[in-house]
Amino acid sequence: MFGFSAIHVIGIVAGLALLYQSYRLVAARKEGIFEFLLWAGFGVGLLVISIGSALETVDLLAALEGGLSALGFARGTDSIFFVSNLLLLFVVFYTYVQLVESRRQLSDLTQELALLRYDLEQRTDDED
Amino acid sequence: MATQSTRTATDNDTPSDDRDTARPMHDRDTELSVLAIVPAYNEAGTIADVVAETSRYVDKVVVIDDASTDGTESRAREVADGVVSHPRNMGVGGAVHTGYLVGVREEFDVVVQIDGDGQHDPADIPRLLERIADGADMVIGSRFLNDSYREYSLVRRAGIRFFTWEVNALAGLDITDVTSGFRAYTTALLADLSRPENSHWALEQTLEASRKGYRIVEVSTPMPPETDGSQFDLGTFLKYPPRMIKTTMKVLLFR
Repeated sequence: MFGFSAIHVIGIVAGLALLYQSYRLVAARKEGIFEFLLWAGFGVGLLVISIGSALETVDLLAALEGGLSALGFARGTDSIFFVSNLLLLFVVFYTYVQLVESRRQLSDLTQELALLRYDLEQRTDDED
Repeated sequence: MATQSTRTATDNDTPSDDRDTARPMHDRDTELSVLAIVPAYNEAGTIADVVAETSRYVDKVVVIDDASTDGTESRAREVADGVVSHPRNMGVGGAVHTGYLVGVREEFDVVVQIDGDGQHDPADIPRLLERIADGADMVIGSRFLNDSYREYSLVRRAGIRFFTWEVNALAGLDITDVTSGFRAYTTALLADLSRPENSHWALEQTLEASRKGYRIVEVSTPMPPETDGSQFDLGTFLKYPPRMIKTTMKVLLFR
């Protein structure tokens, strides 16, 4: 029924790790719902592909190839690479946007901290 | 939103020697309250003289120390009315924006911006302020309205010319020195401008102010190039085009 090889085990472990870590972070309120769904989705996808391709009774890759050939992909593996790259591009873009926003917020905080110190010094000088 | 909707004309001054150094601006009849901001990064050798001279022409001088490591902050505290000290370096765009916030929050009428390296002569401040009193929203001190630009390297002159031409073309202006950091503004304008990038703030600021309909004028202000803070080499020139494209896109699309 199962034809596990090392690559299947790696995929399953990675999928479970993603699920566990994303759940742990959202439970601790260290990430938002959107981030949880994103990473948990990757985890579920990894599990489905790893387990599905290891099932001898269900030829997942063949099913994928059949379904995706209707979209114009020549081979199932091509489509997997294509979709994977699209997802990675999405993740990189999302991370970049978050990084830019974090840098802007850091600049704002730096500025406000400096201005607060300045205000305090000015008030102290006025009182003196 | 623009506070004055019909102002895009540029009003270049011809070179002039009519500096009124004997009469500080805050003694004049304009009744404008004037804050001078001095963005400084490692200018310990010049900051005290710049502040002392500038204070003759304005009501208050505040130094924006951009995390200097050479004692600029302590030197500035000896002479300035106030010092805003960034905990980390933010670049000149961040430093000038911090100064603008001081001017807006303390409700000054006008903010004068002058470099801490001694490149700008504080004695020119009254002439900048005169143009503000005449109705300008932003006054730029230009080195290209006198002979001081001839002392600059060919690369630096070409760079300034190119970017000034580009801003003029994009904004319908007729200015000569868009990269100049010697400026005076009404705080109404500053309150309406977005926070600029940490680099190339002058281009972004000028474009945005023009697009919002503010009146931008220039006056002739000599600026000798031989100061430590004047860095415009070939590397800087090569970095400018992509940054200029980025700045231009940002202003045209989102501001």
